Amino acid sequence: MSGMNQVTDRLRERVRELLADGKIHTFIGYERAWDPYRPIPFFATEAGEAERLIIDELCVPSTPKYMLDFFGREGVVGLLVKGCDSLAVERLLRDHRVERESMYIIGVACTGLLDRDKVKARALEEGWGAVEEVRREGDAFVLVTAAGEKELGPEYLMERCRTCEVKVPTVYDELLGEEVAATAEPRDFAEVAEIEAMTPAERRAYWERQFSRCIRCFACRNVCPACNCRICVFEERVPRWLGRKTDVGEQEMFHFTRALHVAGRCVDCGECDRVCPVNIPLRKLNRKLMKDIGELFGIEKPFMPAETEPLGQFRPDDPDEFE
Amino acid sequence: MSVKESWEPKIIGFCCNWCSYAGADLAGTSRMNYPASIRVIRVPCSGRVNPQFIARAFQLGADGVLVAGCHPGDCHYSTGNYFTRRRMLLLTRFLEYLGVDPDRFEVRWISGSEGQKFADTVREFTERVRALGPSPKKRDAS
Repeated sequence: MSGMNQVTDRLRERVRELLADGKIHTFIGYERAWDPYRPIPFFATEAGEAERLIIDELCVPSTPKYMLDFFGREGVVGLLVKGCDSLAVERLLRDHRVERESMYIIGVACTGLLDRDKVKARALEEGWGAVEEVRREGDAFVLVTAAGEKELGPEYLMERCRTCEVKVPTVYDELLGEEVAATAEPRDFAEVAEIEAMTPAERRAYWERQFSRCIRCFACRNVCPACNCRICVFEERVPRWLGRKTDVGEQEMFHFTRALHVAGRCVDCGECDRVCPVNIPLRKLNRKLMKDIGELFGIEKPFMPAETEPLGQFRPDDPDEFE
Repeated sequence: MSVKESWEPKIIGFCCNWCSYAGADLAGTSRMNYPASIRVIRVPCSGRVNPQFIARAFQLGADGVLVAGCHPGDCHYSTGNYFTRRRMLLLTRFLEYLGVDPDRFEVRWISGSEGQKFADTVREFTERVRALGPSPKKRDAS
């Protein structure tokens, strides 16, 4: 295991070729920007720009959702896709929001990303300065910073990567990097069970505390590969499902609706959780529904996009608890 | 919880046109007594009941919500209530997860000939909700 930065040169070379040959008109990857600890999506449109591309364990944001910006446009868009991102690609494909032919996917095998908030906090505290390179050495991460090489243990891995079962993309045109076996801790839904174990009053108080913080920035919706409707229910004028008033009732309505709209289609990429500016544990809503879908309808991997979605089908012998 | 004596539970009932609404009709024409706490909303099929309807009912201060449809296998549209069943199985659990008392939400299969079952269901449900007291209103109607 040596980390994703190993394939940077190969990536740049391929993107340069693809852009120069006119096979793609844009490539969506990452570049190190104003905050070197938080690489941002980078849209390369000329062969010369391929030099700016990077890939390492700090390149977290999911790229496939940007495909919607190219909806209805001619030509092929190149895309850098990690395991979790490939499920987002599949989500968009199954929802008929993108065409497979309009994408050229460069997959990269990933062994887990860094929790950028955690890393940044430590870097600020210890004054590491800019980061130039990230490597993986065994279970540890090595950051080459202005203050020298810093080693970070596996506790800096993102929460969602600990239980990741899709380290190698499921869909790609070419794959960079060595394939890695999908070894993961079991998905045990411990955080969901924790809330289920509360008393109804505690649960009520817990969620009200979470939802009261919501500023309705819609970042969770915008980043979500399953939230891909052309007209979102929250933007409809009639009926106005969501009032403009800022209060916990409206916020709850928003989160209730959002979670149910992605029920059975959520790929558990965890991006909603990551982008929330007020740290609402959105994944706990998605994963509750995922857990129940798995248990009630006997679906082993409810996060994997399937031919027919769990709520778009039924079995006559489904459990029936209603009299 | 201390409740004003005049308080009566307000229950929103979504009834499918072909079975449960006919069942409610039968209860009426048979002159069966059941509490006036229920406000019946006729829907073409229990499959029409969007979970947002239920969330909105609670948001506007409903004390209980009842969803009633044809028995599985008897749907006028053949399969509509099978989809409802999957959705409602999830929804009951999700509402509970969010801290809504599960006793405030009820799903029943009531056929067009089950006027008595409709009356009994409303009576039992009303009593259960009455015991819980009023549900907090979270939004002004607009």
